[in-house]
Order: sequence, then structure tokens, then C-alpha cells
Amino acid sequence: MKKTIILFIILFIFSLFVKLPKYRELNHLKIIDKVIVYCDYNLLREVIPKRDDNGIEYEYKYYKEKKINKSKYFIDKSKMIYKCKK
Amino acid sequence: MEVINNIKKLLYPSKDYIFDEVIIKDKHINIIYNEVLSDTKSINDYILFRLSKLKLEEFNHLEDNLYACNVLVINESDIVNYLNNGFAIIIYKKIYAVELRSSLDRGITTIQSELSLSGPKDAFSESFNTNLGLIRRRIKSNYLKSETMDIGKVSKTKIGVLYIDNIVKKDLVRHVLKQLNKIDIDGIIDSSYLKNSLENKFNLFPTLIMTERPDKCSMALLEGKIVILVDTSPYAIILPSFFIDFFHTTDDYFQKSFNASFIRIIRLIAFLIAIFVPGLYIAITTRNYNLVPLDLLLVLKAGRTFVPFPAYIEAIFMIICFEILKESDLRMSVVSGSAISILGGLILGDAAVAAGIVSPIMIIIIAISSIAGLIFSSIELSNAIRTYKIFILILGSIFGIYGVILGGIIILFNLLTTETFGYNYLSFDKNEIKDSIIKIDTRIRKRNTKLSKNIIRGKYR
Repeated sequence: MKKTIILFIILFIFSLFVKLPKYRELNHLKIIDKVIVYCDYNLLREVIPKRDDNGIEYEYKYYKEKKINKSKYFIDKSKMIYKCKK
Repeated sequence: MEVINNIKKLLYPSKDYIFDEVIIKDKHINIIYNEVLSDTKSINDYILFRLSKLKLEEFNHLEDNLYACNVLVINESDIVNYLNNGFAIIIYKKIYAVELRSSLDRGITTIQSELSLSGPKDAFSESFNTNLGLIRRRIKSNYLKSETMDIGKVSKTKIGVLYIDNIVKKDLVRHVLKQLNKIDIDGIIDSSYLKNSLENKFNLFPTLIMTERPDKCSMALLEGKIVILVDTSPYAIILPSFFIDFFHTTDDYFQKSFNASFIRIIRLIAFLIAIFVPGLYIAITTRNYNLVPLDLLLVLKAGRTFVPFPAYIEAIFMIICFEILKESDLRMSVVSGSAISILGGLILGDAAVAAGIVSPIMIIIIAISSIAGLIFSSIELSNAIRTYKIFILILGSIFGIYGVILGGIIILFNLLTTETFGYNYLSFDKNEIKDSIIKIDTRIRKRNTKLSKNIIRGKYR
């Protein structure tokens, strides 16, 4: 019993230092597969997959944003294209 | 006769107890038997026939002159007990009990639950004597001891504790007998009733194996373990059982070591899949989606497009449906079996996905984890896996990957701190390493040093 209590205390203390990611359902997650960084603004392309009888089809939406709010989107960092040399 | 009247009062109003009086050579002999438990044909063909051939002076010592396998002189207080064990009671000056049991079991049949590709196929039945005989056929040694006792105030069920005297540790035998003697219960109907006194109630992982295979019991006895047989139960108990024992089957010893090792590794992978996969999937798709490649994430998102429920609700719903299907498959009759299986598969599979209630990937995840959990023949281990699966799922949905790791630590902690009859549940003895997850053929096979004082199991030349 003692060992169990000590284990739970240690795990609880450890959990205070671990930053838990936010809960977000896939349905509410915006997946950004391309980001073009200009000097004044950023152009984001959201990909929306849709399933039908032929397989998966992709729709694209474009957003213009001054600042990229990473908590709002899921961004594939390898797809960021920088068009502004600062 | 006073004895007869007393017995009649005790057994009234049961009509299956027969009270007979025969007169042979002017001697009044009373015979009492139960027409269901005793073999009435043998009473007529043997007892009455033999009594009619006896000389007058031989009637005074029937125990020497009735050439049955078992004729005992008993007291009046033991009459009912012997009657209920299938003995016929003869009362003439003394009280004799003659063993003439009728065969009320189904005989030796094939194994139902722990199938094997090669090896013996005979299984235990509900008769204690038959089960003991099946083990004694395999271990023809005078060191194989069987200590019997009657447990249950009303049922008086016969329990046998078997061990090999020159292999097992005596402390273990004493501990088991002490635990069994503490049982104070009205009746034992099955061997699983003994689990309450032999196992730790609060631990989900089983610490003893229940088996219907006599070859498995014989192997366990040769390893220094104890086997408990219960009359009217086709399942024997093997103890102490360690965590690694649930990954071994008798088939492993009937095939090449490489194949056996491969299958054992598959079983370990199945154990991990059964517990962790649903929780990992929920964690990755709700909190830690950075771990998933983009292409896979798009496929998962496409599958969940029209699903109205959160992922963890969907997972719990699917687990419940699968358990309902499994339970109904066990309970329903053979006649309606295939129709309900098709209905269940169609409803849970195709129709639920088409209606948008669940996503196809969730069905695959839950199906793979549930089927992986059924790879073990021990029902208790399968139930423990199911419970921990739901526990990891909840932790994964609340804390993400950290929760899954947390759950893994808790399970490992549980395994490491569990003890089975004084031995560590998750421990490897250096002699048993070559027969644990992998199986290596060696010239000398050694026993677990913790279980046995006699280490060398065999030498192959």
C-alpha cells in the first residue's frame, strides 16, 4: 500500500511539470499543409480531406493572416516557404 | 431396527434412497443405497449373488468375504456420508460400506478451450478419480503424492492436492494446505470457488492457472508446482503461476525451439497491442497529433468527417459492443449461432460506418486489440487485459501520450509488486531464462531454483 501511494505522489508531482497538449478532435482541427511567409502577411493553405466512394478527395482553403497562431492550426513545419528576406 | 429408523428420519422425504431387507439363509440383512449414485446392477449381480453363496460362518466377517475393491466397516454417524458418495450400506451385526459407485460423468472427452495442434487431446472430466488417473498415467512415480480433503459443510466436495515429493518445496505445500483448511463455506461447486482463498482479490492479474489439460498439469508437477483437483470440476488449478507462464502453451514443447520462440514473441506483441493500441490511438489523434505523418493524419481526419461523437466515446462504445457480441456468442444456442454472428458483424461493421456513427479506423483498432486479447487461453488474463485497456484509454484521452506512459508504469508497477505464494510474479530465474519469452534447446534442462530444490530437469545426449 505504501509503495502504491508513493508511486502516485511521484507521478502527480511529475505531471505538474509536464505540459499537456490541448484536447482537439480531428473534426475541429485545421490542417495546414502549406505556408507562404511574405513580408506583410502569411498565406496559409488548409487541406480538407473528404471520403467518398472513389476514395479520398482534398479541398483547399486559403487564409491570409498577419500572425500565425500555431495553437489554432496543425502546421506541417516542413512545408513553410519563406518569400521575404529580412 | 433403530439404526434403520434413524437413517430414514434423516433422509426423509427423499425417495431416491432405497431401504431393502433380504433374507438369505434365515439371516435378515438390510441394504441401503441411493439408486442414482450407486450402481444398482452391481448390487444385484454382485452383492446379492455373493451373499447367497456365503457359508453361515462367513456372515460374521463380511469385510473379508465380500471380494469387492473396497469394503469398509463404518460407524452409524458415517452412513449418510458414504451413501452420498455412492457406497451401498449393508447392515448385519456390523455396518459395512461397499463401494459401488455409478458412473455419472461424461467420460474422457477432447479438449474444448485450450486447443493444440499436436500433443495429447484428452481433457479432464467432472470425476476426481478419472482426473487423478489421467495424471497418474503420465507420472508413474511413487513420489507423486495426493493429499485429499473434503471442503464444504453441505457439499463435502473432495479436493486433492497433488505434488511430487522429491521436487516441490514443502513450505509451499504446507502454505497451500493451510489456506485450503481455512475455507469455511457451505459448498464448492467448481474449482474456481477456491480462487477466493488462494488468490489476492485486489489484483487483476491471475496468479494461478486453471486448465483442463492433464499434460499441462503433469508438466507443472515436474516443474515443482502444485496441482489441485476438485471433484465435479473439469478444471484443475496449477499454482504458483507466474506472469511468463501465461505466454507458454504445451504446443511450445512439441515443436522446434525457433518456432516456439517466434510464437511466444507474437504473444507478447499481442499482449502489448491489446492493452496499449486503443489508448495510443486516442492520444495521438486528440492531443499528440504532431507525432503522426501528415498523409496519415489526412486519412484519419477523412474517416472521422461525419462522426458526431468524440473519439474516446466512440472507442468505449465499440469496446462495449464487442464485449456484448462476445458474451452473446458464448451464451446463445448452436441453432441461432451463425445468424447472430452475421447480424453482429454487419451491424457493427458495415452499417455503423455507413451511418456515420463510427469511423472505419476505430473498428479496425478495437477489433485488432480485442482479438489480440483473446490469444490467451486464461479467461482471467483476458479480463485483466480488457480492464487495463479501458484504463489506458481513459488516461490517453485525458493526458495524451503522457497518460499512456503513466498507465504503462502503473501496470509494470502492479506486475513487479505482485507476489504469488511468496514468489515474485514477474521474475526471471537464471535457470528459466532459456525457457521464458524465447526457448533455447540446451543439453541440460534446469528447473526454477525458487520452486524446486531439485534443479536438474533432464539431460539430453
